[in-house]
Amino acid sequence: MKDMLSKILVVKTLAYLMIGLAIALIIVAFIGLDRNKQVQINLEGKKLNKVSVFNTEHIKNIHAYENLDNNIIAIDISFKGGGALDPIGYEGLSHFLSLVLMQGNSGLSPYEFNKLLDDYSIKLSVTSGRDFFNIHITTLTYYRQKAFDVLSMIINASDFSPSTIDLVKNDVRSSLALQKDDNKFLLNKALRNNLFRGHKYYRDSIGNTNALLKFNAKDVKDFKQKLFTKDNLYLSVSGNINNAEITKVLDPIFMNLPDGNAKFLSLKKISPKITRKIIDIPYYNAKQSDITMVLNLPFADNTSLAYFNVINAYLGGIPDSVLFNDLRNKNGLVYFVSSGIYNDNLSKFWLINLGSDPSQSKEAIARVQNLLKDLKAGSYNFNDIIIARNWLINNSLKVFTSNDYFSSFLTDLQLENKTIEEYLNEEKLISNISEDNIKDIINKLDVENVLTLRIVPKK
Amino acid sequence: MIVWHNMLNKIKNNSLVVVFILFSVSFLHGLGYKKIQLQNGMEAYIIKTNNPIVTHVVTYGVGSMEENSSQEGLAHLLEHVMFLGSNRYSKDKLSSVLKNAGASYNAYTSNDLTLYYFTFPKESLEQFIKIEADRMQWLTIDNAIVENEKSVVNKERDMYNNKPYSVFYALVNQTLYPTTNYGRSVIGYPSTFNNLNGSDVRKFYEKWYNPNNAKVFIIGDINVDIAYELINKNYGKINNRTNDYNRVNYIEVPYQANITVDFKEQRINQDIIMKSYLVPSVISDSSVENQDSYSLILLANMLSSHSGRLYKSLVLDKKLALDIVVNYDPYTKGNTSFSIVVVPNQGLDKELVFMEAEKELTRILASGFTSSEVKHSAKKIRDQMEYLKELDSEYLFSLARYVNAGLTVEQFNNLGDNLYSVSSNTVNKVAKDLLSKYFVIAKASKTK
Repeated sequence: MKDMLSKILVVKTLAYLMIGLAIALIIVAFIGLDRNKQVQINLEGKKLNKVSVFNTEHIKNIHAYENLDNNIIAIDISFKGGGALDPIGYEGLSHFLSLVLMQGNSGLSPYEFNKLLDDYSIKLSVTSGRDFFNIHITTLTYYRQKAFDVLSMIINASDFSPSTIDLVKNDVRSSLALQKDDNKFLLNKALRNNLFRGHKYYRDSIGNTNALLKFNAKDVKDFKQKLFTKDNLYLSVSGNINNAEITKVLDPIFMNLPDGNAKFLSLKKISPKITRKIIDIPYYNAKQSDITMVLNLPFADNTSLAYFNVINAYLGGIPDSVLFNDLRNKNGLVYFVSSGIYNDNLSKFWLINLGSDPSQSKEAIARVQNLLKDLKAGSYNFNDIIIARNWLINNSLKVFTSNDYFSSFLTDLQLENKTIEEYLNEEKLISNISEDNIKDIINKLDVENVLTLRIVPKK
Repeated sequence: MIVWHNMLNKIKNNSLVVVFILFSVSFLHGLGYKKIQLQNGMEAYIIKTNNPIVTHVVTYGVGSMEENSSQEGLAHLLEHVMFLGSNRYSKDKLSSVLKNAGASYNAYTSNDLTLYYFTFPKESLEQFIKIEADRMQWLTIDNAIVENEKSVVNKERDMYNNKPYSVFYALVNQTLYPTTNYGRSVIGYPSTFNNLNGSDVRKFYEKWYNPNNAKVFIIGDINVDIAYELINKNYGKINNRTNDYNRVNYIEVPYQANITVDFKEQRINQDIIMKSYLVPSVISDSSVENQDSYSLILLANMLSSHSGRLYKSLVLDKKLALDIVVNYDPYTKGNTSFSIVVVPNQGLDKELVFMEAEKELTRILASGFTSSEVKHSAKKIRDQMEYLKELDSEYLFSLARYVNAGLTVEQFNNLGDNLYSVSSNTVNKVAKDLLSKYFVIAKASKTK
């Protein structure tokens, strides 16, 4: 009887072991599946297959999406070049132009121009960055003809009134005064100083008081004529308008633009090399230490950058990242921490931004450095990297939910010299990312040479 | 100039964490919705659009107003703790779900309410309703979590205190509301805040975070019937811990004299002068059909317009000011402020600029607005709403704020028409009344 019981027990134990093994295998299989699972790209939601790319007589590669869901039309226009093209001694001219275009054109005074925008509820934004100049105009369909008139004034009429120039000078004076004691501006200035000294990128795109005094209507007009050329025009439309109407109304607006001026747009090459350094920037009785850490990105090809985008997301590029959970949630060292990729035609970096109590800033910096070293040493969770990848792909759907976002997205693609197909291929690349891809990219990272800039209270 | 609008929008609302685009006026226009009253008292609003990204908002009818003097900063601290895990969704699990779905999320605490939102692809609706329902009942609160989060909040406060204009606006807010908690800092003061512990957070949570004090709003490309079932199944079964909400006084006492605030700081490189009156909000307005508060909405719009008379005179013709901003937040539970902000041009004497601004303002308000000016203003606000309709999330944030403040959806729907029905005579009478009130003058300038 006892033997029999023992046998039953053994059989039962074996059975349990077998069941346990089977469960374990199923779990492993599921984990394995999860680890390699591709995230589904919502192509229908992204509507990219419904985007037309076409030329008119005077505009190349218009990207257009006809959206009949609402009564809104958004037009996004960019020209390559911005503050980096400001002539020597005329720093801030591109920024100045952007403000002038917001205030008056075609002989209209700022009051008359603003009244036109106001009367027809036209939303206009003109901005100049360091590398791009952007005009974004949004209108309700029933006022669209007025919006096209405004656009035509901006593009074609450059008879800026003295009152417009004076008004904008007052505005820039205030901006210059405001940024003088702004901690973020001082940090950014130190960053430019360390990365781009001797290059046009070193300059502040808002300019300076001396340059501002010199600006007149002719300077602004001349700069505009060099920047606004047919070959340098990138245009996208999203909204309740079809391609035939786009062609009919937009083509004549750009017909008088001159052809391109490649020499004007060219910039000296620059390859800043990051070395290990900590630079303190004294700032009054700073209550918070704003910190920027900069690392080299030792690759420039689109595939590597696409893969690195996932690693950046995992580490600090998305909500609840490794850095955020460790430095803020676990260790209470920072209020904010995030990372991002700095990518322009001339240079590429990896930036990490933190906001810490000045008394904890050293510890916060050391913690980031340790986490970077851990990453380099292979201490990462691939499943969490896949989850970060999923966030990137699923969250990107938002771009396609408003005409403003969508039109800007389509222009940005053009500025990056990417086709829609190339964009989707990159997304597919990310959706198929493997652990080997991750290892390969991490192996190339240099986590030792970190330039750290830190706001500290003045002693 | 945009920078001034953004900064000034923060004054009255005094919200933390998220800066939303809060339009002065919103109304549901052409979008169908379904309202549900659950048996436990929770209200739900479901709005169907074609947007594949769904926005889910939950509001609790509590903010810093309901803190006592030893609890300052508690409502906001609880908002932080809400993201640190609950019974079925530990911090790690919550984080994993949010990231897998590609969700964006955040929250803000104001004087009147606390708002939480998630945006996510429509396929994840059930998951997010479950998360929100779980943390409404079973939030993980212990001293270790609270201590760590206090350290984070202290850093957040330092970030605001590092900006001189933030310190100025906090001071202005205290002066505008001397007898109600509207003047209080939502983030709290270190002296009392640092004494808060897990037990304080739990008591506040259990008192205020109940279905009968909460509302849920969902917008996106969803099946309304399925959404209703999910709401009922997950939120409907939550029990209330209390039905007793003794609320503090929300109505500020009228000023008995004019008050001046003179703020000087070494980092202020752009002067600001601000004149504020205590006025009714849409909620606190007992005048017939809210004509006073609607008139104030139109007045604010006309006075701050870049094609308006005040801007033309001071900025464009006399070249005295860089910008004029008029700020009126009509959707508070108590009374609110109507503020006219003048940003003098660099190098000009701010006192002289303000004297001229005063004269011009008095002249405009005394002479009154024409009927066509008033109708034009109402039209502009309607057009803004047409734009807002496209942006589901911003649209829902506005709606949630309206409804939470005590307006019905029908009032919300009819607001645009109500603005059209306000006559220029009514607007002009309200404008003249404004001039007869006591006010607060606040000035920010550089330390000599």
